[in-house]
Amino acid sequence: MASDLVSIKGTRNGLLILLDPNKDYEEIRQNLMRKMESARGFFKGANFSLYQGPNGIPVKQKNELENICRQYGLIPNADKTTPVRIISKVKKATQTPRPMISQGTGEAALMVQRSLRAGQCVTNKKHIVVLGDVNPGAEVISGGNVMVIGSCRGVIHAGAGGNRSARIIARRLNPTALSIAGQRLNPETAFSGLDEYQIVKLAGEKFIFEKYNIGR
Amino acid sequence: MSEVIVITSGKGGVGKTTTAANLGAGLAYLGKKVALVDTDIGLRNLDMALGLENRIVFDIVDVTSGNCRLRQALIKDKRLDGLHLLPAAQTKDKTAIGPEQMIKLCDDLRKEFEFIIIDCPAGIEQGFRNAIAGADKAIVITTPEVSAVRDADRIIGLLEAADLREPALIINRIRPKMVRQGDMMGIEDIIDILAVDLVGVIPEDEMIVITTNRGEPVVLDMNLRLGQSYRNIVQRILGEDVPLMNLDGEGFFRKIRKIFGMK
Repeated sequence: MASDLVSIKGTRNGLLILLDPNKDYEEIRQNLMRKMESARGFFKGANFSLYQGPNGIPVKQKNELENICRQYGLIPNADKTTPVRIISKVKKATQTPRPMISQGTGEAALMVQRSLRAGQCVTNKKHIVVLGDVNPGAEVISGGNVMVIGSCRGVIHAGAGGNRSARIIARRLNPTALSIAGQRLNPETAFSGLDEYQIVKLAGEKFIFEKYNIGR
Repeated sequence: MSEVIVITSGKGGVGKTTTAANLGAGLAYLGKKVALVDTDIGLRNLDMALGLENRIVFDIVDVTSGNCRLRQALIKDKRLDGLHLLPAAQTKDKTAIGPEQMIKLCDDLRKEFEFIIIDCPAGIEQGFRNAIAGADKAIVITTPEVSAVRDADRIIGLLEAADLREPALIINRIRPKMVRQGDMMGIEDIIDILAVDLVGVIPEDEMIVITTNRGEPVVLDMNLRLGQSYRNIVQRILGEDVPLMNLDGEGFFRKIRKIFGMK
């Protein structure tokens, strides 16, 4: 009976986690946790999307469910995690997630709508935006750029996979470790920790730190 | 309405048990019916902080495994009528009970007590998961050390994942003089990282060693500043439904600061 609350299907774009729209959220959450626990890391590294009927899932609940999946090493599909997409509530009742529609200006990014605490880790092939702090002991690993709105004191890897043009933008930059495209910043580097946005990029073998000016 | 509050920290030795004993005694002193539950199975300590170790007959594992009734295992405190202790087992380990049993135990305790305070073991494994299973609220204890703050941060993340949102923070063993000299993390530094509501600050004081060894909760000593710092926390726990909780916190800070400033 309970097994129908949450069903996990494999698709071209990764896993599709179907949630029963007629069931109580708490039941669904418990069920998802149990499934993830019993999978024992089987899904680790897989992309996934959550789907619960044409009305979508309330943002808060969705974030919570995604965080549960993240804890077990799953990576949310970027096209379904940006809050902008959630506003467009009419989703097609297909079983596969829609292809990315991020043409035009801007690129897809994973929005992390909370602070990352010690022991929490977010990985994504595309950009990552953290709408909070990255605390000491937390990790952000991105194939593209990383932006941290709050204090940045954890471990940041941008351009993982070799993208040397990846950048890191953060306020109060004081990371435990930092790398771009696998090149690690000398841990002896003193960070300013100033209350302003700084941009970090690679120029050859050297890291460049600049004050980030919006709109340039 | 009864409340189940778990007191946790991640790191060991930061004062979970001492705080649990003092908050429990403080609440009972104000006439509340309080049950203290020691979930640190195998490393039983809370009974000693209360001076009740020689009264133990049954323990938490006896209750969850049905060897005795809950009533039989609860030890009534010798000083305070409302205070009861459910001691941990000393000869078993953390796997002797599971989260479901803890939830049931907490629900049973709710019927009789207004406050159920759970003393959590150090670590993030089974013992921690047991302790938080039945809780409505969490109080996280840290000391002004980088390692303790890091562990507290990890614990807060785990609590949030377990739906225990917005835990309250107690900063224990702070030494204002060292903070002033820049040799110790200050309250603001800790709050800046942990981003949770502060419920109290307890200064470092030798008296805690003496009172804990004697099994007399310091919260009952009306002459000590240390006791006052615990009583303030008790007040704030009782006033948690009042929306001015944050402002109270700042007032509390300033008061503490003033005391130290005058010294």
